[in-house]
Amino acid sequence: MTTRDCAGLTTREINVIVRELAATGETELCLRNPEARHNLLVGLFAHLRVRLEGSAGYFCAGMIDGPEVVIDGNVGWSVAENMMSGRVTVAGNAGSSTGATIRGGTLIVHGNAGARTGIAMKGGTIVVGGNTGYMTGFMMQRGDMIICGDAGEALGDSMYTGRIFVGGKIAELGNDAVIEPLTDDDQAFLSVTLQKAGLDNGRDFKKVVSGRRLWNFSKKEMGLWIQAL
Amino acid sequence: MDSGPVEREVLRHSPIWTPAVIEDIQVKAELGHYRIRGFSTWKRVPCFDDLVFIPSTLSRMPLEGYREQCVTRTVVGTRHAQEPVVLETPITITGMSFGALSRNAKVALARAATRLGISMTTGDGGMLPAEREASKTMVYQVLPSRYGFNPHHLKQAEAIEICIGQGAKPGTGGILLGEKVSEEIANMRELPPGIDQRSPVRHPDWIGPDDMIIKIEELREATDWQVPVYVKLGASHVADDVKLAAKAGADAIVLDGMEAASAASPDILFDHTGMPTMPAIVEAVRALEEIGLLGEVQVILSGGIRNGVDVAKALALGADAVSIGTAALLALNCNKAIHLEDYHKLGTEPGACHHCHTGRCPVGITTQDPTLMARLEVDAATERVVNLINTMTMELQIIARACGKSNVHDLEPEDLRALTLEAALITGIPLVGTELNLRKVLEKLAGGETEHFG
Amino acid sequence: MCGLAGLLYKQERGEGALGAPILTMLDVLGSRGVDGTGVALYGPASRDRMVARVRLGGSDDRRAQADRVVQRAAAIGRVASADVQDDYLRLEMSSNRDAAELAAAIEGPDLGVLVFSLGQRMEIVKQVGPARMLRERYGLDCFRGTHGIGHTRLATESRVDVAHCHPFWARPFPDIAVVHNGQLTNYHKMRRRFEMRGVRFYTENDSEFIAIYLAHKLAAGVSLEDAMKDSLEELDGTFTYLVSTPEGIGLARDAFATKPMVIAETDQWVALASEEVALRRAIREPFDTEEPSARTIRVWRHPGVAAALTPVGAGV
Repeated sequence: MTTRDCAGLTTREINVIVRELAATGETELCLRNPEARHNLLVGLFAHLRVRLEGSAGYFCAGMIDGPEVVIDGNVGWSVAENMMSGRVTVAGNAGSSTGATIRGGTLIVHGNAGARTGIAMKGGTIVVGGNTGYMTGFMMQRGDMIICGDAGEALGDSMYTGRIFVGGKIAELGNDAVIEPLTDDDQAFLSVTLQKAGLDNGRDFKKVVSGRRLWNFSKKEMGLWIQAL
Repeated sequence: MDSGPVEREVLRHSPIWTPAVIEDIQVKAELGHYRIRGFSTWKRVPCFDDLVFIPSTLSRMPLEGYREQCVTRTVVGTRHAQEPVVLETPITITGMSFGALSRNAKVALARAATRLGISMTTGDGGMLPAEREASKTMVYQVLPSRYGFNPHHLKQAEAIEICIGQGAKPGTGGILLGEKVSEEIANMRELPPGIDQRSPVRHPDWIGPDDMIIKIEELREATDWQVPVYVKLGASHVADDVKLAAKAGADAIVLDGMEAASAASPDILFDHTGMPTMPAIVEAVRALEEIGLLGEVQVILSGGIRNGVDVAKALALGADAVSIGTAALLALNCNKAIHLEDYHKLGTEPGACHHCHTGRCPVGITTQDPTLMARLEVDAATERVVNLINTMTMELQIIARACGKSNVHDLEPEDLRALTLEAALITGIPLVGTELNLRKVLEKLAGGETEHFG
Repeated sequence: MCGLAGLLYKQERGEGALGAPILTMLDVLGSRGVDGTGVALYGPASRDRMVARVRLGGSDDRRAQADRVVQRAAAIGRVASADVQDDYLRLEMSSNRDAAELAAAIEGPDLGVLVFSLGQRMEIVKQVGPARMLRERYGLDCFRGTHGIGHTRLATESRVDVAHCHPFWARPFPDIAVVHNGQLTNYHKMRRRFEMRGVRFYTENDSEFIAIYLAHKLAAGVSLEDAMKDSLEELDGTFTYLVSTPEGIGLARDAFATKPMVIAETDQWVALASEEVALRRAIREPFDTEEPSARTIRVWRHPGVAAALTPVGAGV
């Protein structure tokens, strides 16, 4: 386990240090004083466990494939964007576009997440302990999202496949998003995932999926199309 | 009414309610949604045809064609990248998706680019491993949809291109209709097969130019600052967008004018959105000059580049290179007079076909149907694209040498004259027979007047 | 289309007739063009003094104009001498202003007044018309010094007026000038790049660009040879040019060797001209000649002259 202090270092210098340590076979790393710098740990493929003692800025752990990252603080926009595989845990709150376009892996935010959480997800799992903002799950293609708290307006707008589970209130469903009853499979998934994330499974979750009426151009359901276009 | 033969009235056609407009309305009355088609605009806009070169004669010396050197080598991405992109000629292949195009088309384009020593570009669907294998210089697009986006592929690229939009339809996202969303394409894009795919217009993880500064840095961090980052713009608010992209850190700007084509777009967007390529490059160059970055940030121009003379005019107006899409596809066989019965089935003819969106391309380019795709034989197709770009390069050199340039990048606006008043006012190039920069005259007048009007 | 001439004395403390032989060469070369004639001559250095060749013009009374110039000069320095010869004022003065400020102050608001040269030793005199005009009007036959260059002009693409005659002072860098035969084909593009960085040009003539281009390189510490080598790569079009600096003369010939040059050299001097006939008329001793090849860069330095360029910004 190696500890490094980020104080006085540029983002580039920090990322180079991380890569060099990974190349020497280090498997556990702690970074002190990240001071909400942007672009930390982006594009990291090494199988490494990294803890950030403090907040990170935009794009933290973006485009990773493999690492486990824990942020003992908040993150800015787009944490773990386009993650291929790995595990990212945010102790505090996350900004907009949390987990944008992730394709695999697991992203957990214990606090609240902002607008467009899970936008364009293509796989993987996002779990939010608190609330999420406007347009959460917009154009979600595949994957699973669990929101323990409330979800903002336009939830799951224009979704494809994929599931969104909401434990609290839904301010408004997005275009072509519908609520369906949970299957046994859904329940099992919730149980296991929340337990692994250290979150309470006591709530009554609603499941939001695509109504599939916007998947193809059609003159039927004009009302829907007018809103969608 | 008498029972004699009816005199035929002279048929009159309204210029407003043309046959095309009448057909359009009646089709939409059945269809119930906007029409989608492929290809390019039908509109005649101010373009390179409105400019001529005035080569060297007595006052300056022309170079001997064939004998005296005329350098075409071009470097893109000198601003920040450790490894800028080196092109043997300033003509590249633009981004077109695997999905919009067939696998054979993508591979032929990649192989041709490699043989020519130029770059090819991925598209709105991600990288096809076959195109990576076939290409020497691959530009990897980062699009709003992020379909197929893979950081492993990103790290294999020689350049990265952040797409804000495309010239055919700025301000909107990509479209791929269900017929073309095959199992293979659907899997690459993580979508259900057969849906009418509509890409988002905005990027998911960043929104404004101020975020883009950070996004560009993210991409550089992920690729260790090795490769150039381009920003691709559909020509619209050119001056503003170019300045923002340059200030955000772009190494090069890919500027796509209105004449650019698309494999599937809402019909109304082609003719009524975007700025034509010629005024776009003029505006872009002035914008870069204003912020002191002309020459430091390269400009790659696309949208209706048809031949070496268009390339020469683009360079003379200040572009560092051009990108071709339609011209390359035409070399592949687009609109070629073969398989005529299949054109007819689509309701069209060779030379008029714009039916890329249907997936029933008679020559196997814009289709996912294996039977149709088989009609595009990769080796022969590669050869045709190589031939086209080689001849474009030779045409470019003929013009450059005639103008006394030993390097095609020394072509200047002063080597041109405008044939129309419009072109003269747009470009600041003097009208033929004059030496006056009308644009400067107007600006001076406007400058005085604004003072007067407070 | 133009004729170039150059002469440099190689001996330490060597100086000799400059005006007479160079004007003779330009007389002969006048057959190549008489849209203008001009010389840049390096006379003896006066310590602490700059010499300016100021062109008076416009419709004003020349004497009155000259008086105003002298007044302006006196306001920012000490005027040692002021001689009006036809439409030129030759000013010798000292000042702690740099060349750029000095030239601007001398010109003042008078649009007809142009500073054609400024330096410790270099004097540019040029005129529309043939070489004999310079001889008759300005007494340059008597000019003696270490080296000089000259030019006869057949205008190609810019105006026929005195400001567009060569030599071009690489304003504001003192004591540097260029004469050029040929036509650049990337002049506009290159000029715009420089203007974008705040560099000012005073004419529409491509030859002026060569002077300012080289001077910027020299000011950045690049050697004259290297600056001229860069020019072979960065300038497009046809050019044979001579550049004069306080140290001596440089010659560059483009990759296509399209514009002529003949060199004659002995232990005592080196003379250059576009045509041998000009050398033979001006220099009456035996000598051999050579024609430099394409891509030639040659520099001849007068020994004993300070090699350092007078830095811009340093007071004189």
